[in-house]
Amino acid sequence: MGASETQRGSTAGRTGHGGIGTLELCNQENQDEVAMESHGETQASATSNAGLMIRLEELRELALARGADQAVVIPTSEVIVDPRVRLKCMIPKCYMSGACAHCPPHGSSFNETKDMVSRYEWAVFFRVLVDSSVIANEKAASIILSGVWDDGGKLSTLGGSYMLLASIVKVVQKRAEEMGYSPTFGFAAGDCRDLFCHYQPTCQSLQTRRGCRHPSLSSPSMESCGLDAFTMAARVGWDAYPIGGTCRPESVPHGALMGLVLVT
Amino acid sequence: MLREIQETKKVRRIPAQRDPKEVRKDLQSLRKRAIALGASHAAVISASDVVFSKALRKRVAADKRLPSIHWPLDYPKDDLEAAIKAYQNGIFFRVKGEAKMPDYGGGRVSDPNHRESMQRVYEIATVLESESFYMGYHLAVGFATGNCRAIFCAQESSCWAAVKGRKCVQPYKGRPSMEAAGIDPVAMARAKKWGLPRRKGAPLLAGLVMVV
Repeated sequence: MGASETQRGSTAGRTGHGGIGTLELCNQENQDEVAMESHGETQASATSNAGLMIRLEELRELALARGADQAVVIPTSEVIVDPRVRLKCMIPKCYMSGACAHCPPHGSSFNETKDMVSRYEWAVFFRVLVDSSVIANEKAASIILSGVWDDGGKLSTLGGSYMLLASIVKVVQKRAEEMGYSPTFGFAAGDCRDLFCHYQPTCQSLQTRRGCRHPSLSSPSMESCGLDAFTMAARVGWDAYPIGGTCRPESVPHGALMGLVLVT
Repeated sequence: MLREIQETKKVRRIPAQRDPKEVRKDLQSLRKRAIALGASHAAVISASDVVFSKALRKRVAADKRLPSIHWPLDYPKDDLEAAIKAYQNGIFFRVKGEAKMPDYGGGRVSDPNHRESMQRVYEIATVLESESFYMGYHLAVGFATGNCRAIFCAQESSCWAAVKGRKCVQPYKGRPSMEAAGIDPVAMARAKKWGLPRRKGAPLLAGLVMVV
């Protein structure tokens, strides 16, 4: 209980300022340390930490500039990896489960993701909002499968939102790597096959040794790797609603797509 | 059944932390809902009450009459038992079947009355799962009984969800069964003192929805 309250307190502090709060706190801590310690190494470390925070803030702002409506810098201790998430991709079975190299039962297992996240300390977590009339569209699933990109433009908007999130992931990763944080790892939302290989008969990664057709565009989704994006969103203060096949637009204020980039 | 889901849907925001009092209240309302939908018995259980059986999973894997994505439940990269144990609570329920009903395993269910009894388990599991989901328990999963292909898609040439790029033709009904996930409903019912079928080999029509 104590731990969860501490965690809640820390996230509340951050979300009030859309992520800047954490950085301010960190910078303040660093300044205090510098004032108290005259040791050269401590000073160098504090300067380096302050530099890291500035760069992470730049990445957060980049996500916002590229179309995210919310973005925060979080320590990876707040990234939730849960074995139930990948199971949920399969019960009830998502139509893309098993059809894409990133989606369960393929893709990174719970243990692989947990191991990967543990190798990083900081991440940028962001959200793209989607109008409820678009994402809670009862016909969405059947329209996607039929490949008819119409329905008053709603499906195009939905696809565009997923594409936007995928592009933010790649842009943030690229900038982070230019800053010298390499390798980074990015997670988008949904399945990449619908976005980039919709008209291809199969996911090439699953069928051949040639691998992905679009390695520079595709990312696994948070959920396909066992990351609980919804609870993470709730803990940073964003409203998130469960939207399934029978959800109606009037039942939710909006939908949300979440992305995450593990930076350093 | 779809109408039942839609009528009761109130979408709740996913909370940062769950209020234990609200969780208890929700679990009780789901238990009552199971009874209202036709379950003869229903109980709120904790994850530690879920009994796994390797022998059961082996038996399901060996029954290849109507293979489907849910028979057996294909989850090769992850530990299914660990995933189910990661839940805290769920609803375990039972539907009374005809006394002379045989154990169909994963094969065709020839008697329409027997099929109807089994369908009731699927309906309860899917309604509870859906309602849990919209209550904000976004990771809720439901398990039913038997092989969903045998019950809903016996006339189909294959399980369409098992064909790459195709989706399940009964997404609001088809679920893996408890036995296909290696969960032993008989042992769980015995622990609840529900009274097991007396006839040897008689199936127990039970379902499980892990909620939170």
